[in-house]
Amino acid sequence: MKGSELLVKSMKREGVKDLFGIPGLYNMPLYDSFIEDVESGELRHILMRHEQAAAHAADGYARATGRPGVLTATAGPGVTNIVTGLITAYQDSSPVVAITGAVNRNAMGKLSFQESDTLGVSFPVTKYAVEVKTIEEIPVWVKNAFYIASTGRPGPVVVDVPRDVQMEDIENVNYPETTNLHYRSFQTVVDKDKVRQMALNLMKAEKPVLLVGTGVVWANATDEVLKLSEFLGCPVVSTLPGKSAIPADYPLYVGAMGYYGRAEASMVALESDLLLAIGARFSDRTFTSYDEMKDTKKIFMSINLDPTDFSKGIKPDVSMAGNARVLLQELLNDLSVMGRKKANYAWNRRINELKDYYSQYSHPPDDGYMRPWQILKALREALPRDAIMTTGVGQHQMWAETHWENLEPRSFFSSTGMGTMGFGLPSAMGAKVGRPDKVVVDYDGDGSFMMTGNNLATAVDEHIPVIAVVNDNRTLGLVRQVQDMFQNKRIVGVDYGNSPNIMKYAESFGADAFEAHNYSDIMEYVRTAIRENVPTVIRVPVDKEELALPTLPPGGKLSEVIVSDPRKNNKN
Amino acid sequence: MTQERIIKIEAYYRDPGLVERIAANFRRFWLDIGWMHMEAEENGTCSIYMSIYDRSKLGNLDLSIITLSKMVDIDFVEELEGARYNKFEIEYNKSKKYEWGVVSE
Repeated sequence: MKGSELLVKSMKREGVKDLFGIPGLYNMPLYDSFIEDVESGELRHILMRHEQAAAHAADGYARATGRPGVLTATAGPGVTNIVTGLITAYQDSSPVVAITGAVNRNAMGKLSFQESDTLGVSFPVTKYAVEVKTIEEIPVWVKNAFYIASTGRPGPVVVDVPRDVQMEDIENVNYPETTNLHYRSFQTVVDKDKVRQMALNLMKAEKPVLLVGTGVVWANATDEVLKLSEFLGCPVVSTLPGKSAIPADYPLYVGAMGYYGRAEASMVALESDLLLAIGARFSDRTFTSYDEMKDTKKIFMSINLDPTDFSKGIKPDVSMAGNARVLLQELLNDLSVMGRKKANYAWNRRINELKDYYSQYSHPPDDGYMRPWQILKALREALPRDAIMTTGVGQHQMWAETHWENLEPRSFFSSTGMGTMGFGLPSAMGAKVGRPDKVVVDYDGDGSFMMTGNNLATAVDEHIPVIAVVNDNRTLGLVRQVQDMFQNKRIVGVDYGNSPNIMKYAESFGADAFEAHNYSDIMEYVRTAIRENVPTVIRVPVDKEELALPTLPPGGKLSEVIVSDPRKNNKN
Repeated sequence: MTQERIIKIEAYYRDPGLVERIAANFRRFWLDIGWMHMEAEENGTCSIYMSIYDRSKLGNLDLSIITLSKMVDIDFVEELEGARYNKFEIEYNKSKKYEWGVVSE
């Protein structure tokens, strides 16, 4: 058996059924070895139009299914092109396995054609990267890679296989039954004293709040979070990616807090006297000023898989490391013997006051252009409850943060840690490949969409019927608004011209294209796209003067939130 | 005064990428390496002693060590209190010099 065949068999033993990639000289043996699998339907290969998109697609696949997404790229530019996709997955804790081809072992270090020092390039952007040195190592490292990617804090792993190793022959193959690694998945430690301390603090707190992050998604702990919230009558706020853990129609969910989050959610977090973070690190995007949070003198508690997060930003008063689901179940058990928590009417009233106060700013009326909040409302009405939404990065992403109502766990994906423009379309394609039963929408902006929009060709060729809703304002809106608001209106390097025509662009790939002139159009075209079940682009023109609000001044505190357009009035 | 820590890293050595990742961990935290000594066995077990110090005064020493401890191939990191470095010495008879691609005896 050839090394490349062994590679394919090893991947299949890990349950791989879908593979995103582009072939080149150094991963061609792999392609040659899976022809029969592709023909038989045992393996699906999706030929992307750029390796970055292959990585985003694998990432979207992983987020949608909970299983590692897999991609392949050749050496040199193939490998360097996946770097952005790998670090995007790394920052957002998404399990991705990249199988890359490398130059022959005896050619390494000699500036050979397309030689790229894959490990050197990959180390800083992955959880792990490994060079397979011999053919015997192939099944070992494929197994290890999937284990490392999907356990602990999930993340991307690169397995680099030299071409000559792929071409070698082996007679006796030993597939490992277990991994043998100097690596440990994080432990879940149930410390009864800490459980009790958390329970007592929660019972005593007058203004508690739960802050939910991505860890809840990966631990499948949504039910436990909702039970805890219901038991305590306690509001829930989330990080931006944590949106994916909580149904937006849960009555005690206030929204995503942070830099561009809902003002009422940030205020609830600020005004609380106890904040329990669950599967959420205290990132600088969520808590924009640690001093501001510390000054509130609240009790900070944290349940987090990665114990090193307790050493960053804010040190929690009580912390438990481990799986959020397991630890929340322990906490719920402990709380249940304490009896019901007395309802805190004053805190609930305050939360409602905050919601009412900020709602006057978050739903501005039309002034000639369609408003993002209404665009998202129209999408919500037209899409099924379990539809998956991905986003690009920019103003539209922030509009989705505040106004998109995802109603099921694992149904909202965005590049939140890295802020990678171009994530939206390919990650939507990956999500659709992984969950063909779901309607998948890429809610995008024109700047972000154009960075990976060429992959529409793949969506058409491979029949991946995603719907891209593109807010077209011909500008890099988020940068523009910072220049406009905080850099004395010195707007430079952000406005695009008329090229391309998004409709013709989409049609040139064979996708359906619609232009929405009003909210009814959006709903109608979305329903048409679902019915036709083909890749579809819906262009939605928006005003380039539209702002993503709430926002903060650069380096600002949450309490400095700006909720209305300062160019129109001074009402903050 | 510059803060310094002396640490011992027990790790699995597969290739020099291990050293690369350890050094990168400290570089990312703006820390410096004073010296390091590594011994790798045939079976891959490896002990690394090193001094790290915080010239930038960003206060990242603790975080850098705990972050290193969760890296694949690292078994654990020990912070050595009261450790003293006895200068490493090597004996040799002759040398060959490589200088910008030119080799001289």
